[in-house]
Amino acid sequence: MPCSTDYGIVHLHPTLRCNLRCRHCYSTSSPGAKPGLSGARILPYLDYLKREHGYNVLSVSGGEPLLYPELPELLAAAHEIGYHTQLVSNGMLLGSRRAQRVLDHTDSLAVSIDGDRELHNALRDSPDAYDRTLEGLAVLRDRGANFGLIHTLTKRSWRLLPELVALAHAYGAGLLQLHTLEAAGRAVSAVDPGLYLDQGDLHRVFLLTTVIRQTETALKVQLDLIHRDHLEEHPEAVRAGATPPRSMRELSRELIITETGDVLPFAYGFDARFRVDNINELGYLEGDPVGDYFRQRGDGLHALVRHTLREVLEGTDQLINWSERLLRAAGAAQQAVVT
Amino acid sequence: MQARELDHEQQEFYEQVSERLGSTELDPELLEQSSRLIARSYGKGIKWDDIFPFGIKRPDGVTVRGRIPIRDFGKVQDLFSDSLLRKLELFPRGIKAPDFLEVNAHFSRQGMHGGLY
Repeated sequence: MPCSTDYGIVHLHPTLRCNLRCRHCYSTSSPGAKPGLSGARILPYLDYLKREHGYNVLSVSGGEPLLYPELPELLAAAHEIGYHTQLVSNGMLLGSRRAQRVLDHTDSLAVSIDGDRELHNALRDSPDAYDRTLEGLAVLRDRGANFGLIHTLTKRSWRLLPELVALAHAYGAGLLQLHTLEAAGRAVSAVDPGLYLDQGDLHRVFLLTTVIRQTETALKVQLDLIHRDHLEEHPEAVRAGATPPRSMRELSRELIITETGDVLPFAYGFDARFRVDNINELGYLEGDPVGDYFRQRGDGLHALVRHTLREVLEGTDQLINWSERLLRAAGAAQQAVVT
Repeated sequence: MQARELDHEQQEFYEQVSERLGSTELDPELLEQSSRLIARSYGKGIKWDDIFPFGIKRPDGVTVRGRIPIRDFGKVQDLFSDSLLRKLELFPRGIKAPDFLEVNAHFSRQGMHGGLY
C-alpha cells in the first residue's frame, strides 16, 4: 500500500447486494438489493481519478463485494491502472472458486467480525455467519494473504478485544481496526439502543486499546477515535488546519462512489447536497468535474470541516468519532454553507 | 502477519486489563484524566503498557504505567499537571546503565502524596 502520507482512497460500493442483512449495516445492504453499477462506467472514472487527482487506493465494499458479478475484471483492470486494491468483505464467500480469482487481484482485505460467535451471529442476523467467516479467514491464512479484521465496537463487544487479538494472531491478520457502532443506515431501527457506547465506555476502550497497541509487536491495532485534546493540538489530522487545502485529495483523502454512481466526499452517507459528481453523467470525458467542484466548493467544504472541529472543541465529549461528527454536521448544515 | 497463537500470558494480561476497566465503580473523571494524559503524550516517545485501578474495597484511583527513554522525558514532563494527578513515580530502568524511565501516574480524588518523585 502507498505510504500513509501519500494515499487517496476511492471507496467503491458497486452494489448493495449482500448475502446478509446485518442489523448494524450503515448502507442498508441486503440480498434483495439491485445489481448496481456497470464496470464499464466505473473503470474510466477510476482512471480519471488516478490520472487527474492522484487517488491511488481502490477499496471495494458494498454490499458484499464478492457478489458483484464484474469484480474480478474490475480489480484486474484497477491494478493495471496502478491502484492498490482492497476488499471489505464479510469473509463468508472466500472459499468459492470465483473468490480465488478475485484474490489474485486483491492486494489487501478487511474482514468484518463483530465479536464472539453469539454476538457476531446476532448482529449479522444469521446462525452460521461466524463459522463461515472463520472458514474465510482460514482461506486467507492458507494463502498468506495480507488482511485485517474490522470490528464494530458495541457496549457488549469491547470487553472481547483480547479474544479478537487472539483471533487475529491465530489467522495471521496484520491489522485489527476498531470502529464504534454508528446510528446510520439499518442500525437506526434494527440495533438495540443499549449497544451504543457512551463516553465512559469510549474511555475504557481507548485505555484498553492503548495498552494492547503498545504491547503488541506483530499486530497493528487501529482505533477510529480521536481525542479532543489531540484535535486541538493537531487540527491538520482531520484536515481542519487553517491553511486551505490545495487539491481535492488534500481536502478529502477519501472519495466514495455509491451504488447509484454518486461521488461523495469523506464518507458513505455524506449529505447528498455535497455531492461531488455522478460517474454516469460522464462529465469527466470532456472536463474535470472533481477539479471544478474543488475550485467552486472546496472552501465551503473546508469551512464545514473547521466548523465541525469548533463544535467538537466547544463540546464536552472527549473521544470523538470524527467521520460520524462530520456526517452529522453536513446533514445539519444550512443551505448557505452547502452552496 | 505469520499466523501463530497469541502467547497465553499476553492474552491473560489483556483480559485482566479489560476486566479491571470493566468495573462499573470506576470514577468517570479518573478515566477521562487517564485517557487525556495518554492522548496528549501521543507521538512524544512514551509507551503506555498497563493501567490498573487501585483502592481498598472499591477503586478510587487509577494508575497508568508507561516507559520513556530518559532523553525524551523533557517532552512529556509538562503533561503531568492534571488536577487529579496525585502522584508521579519515576523509576530509572535499563541494563548496565539506566536508559529509560518507568512512569507511574496515579490519578485519584483522594489526597495522596503530591509532586514529582
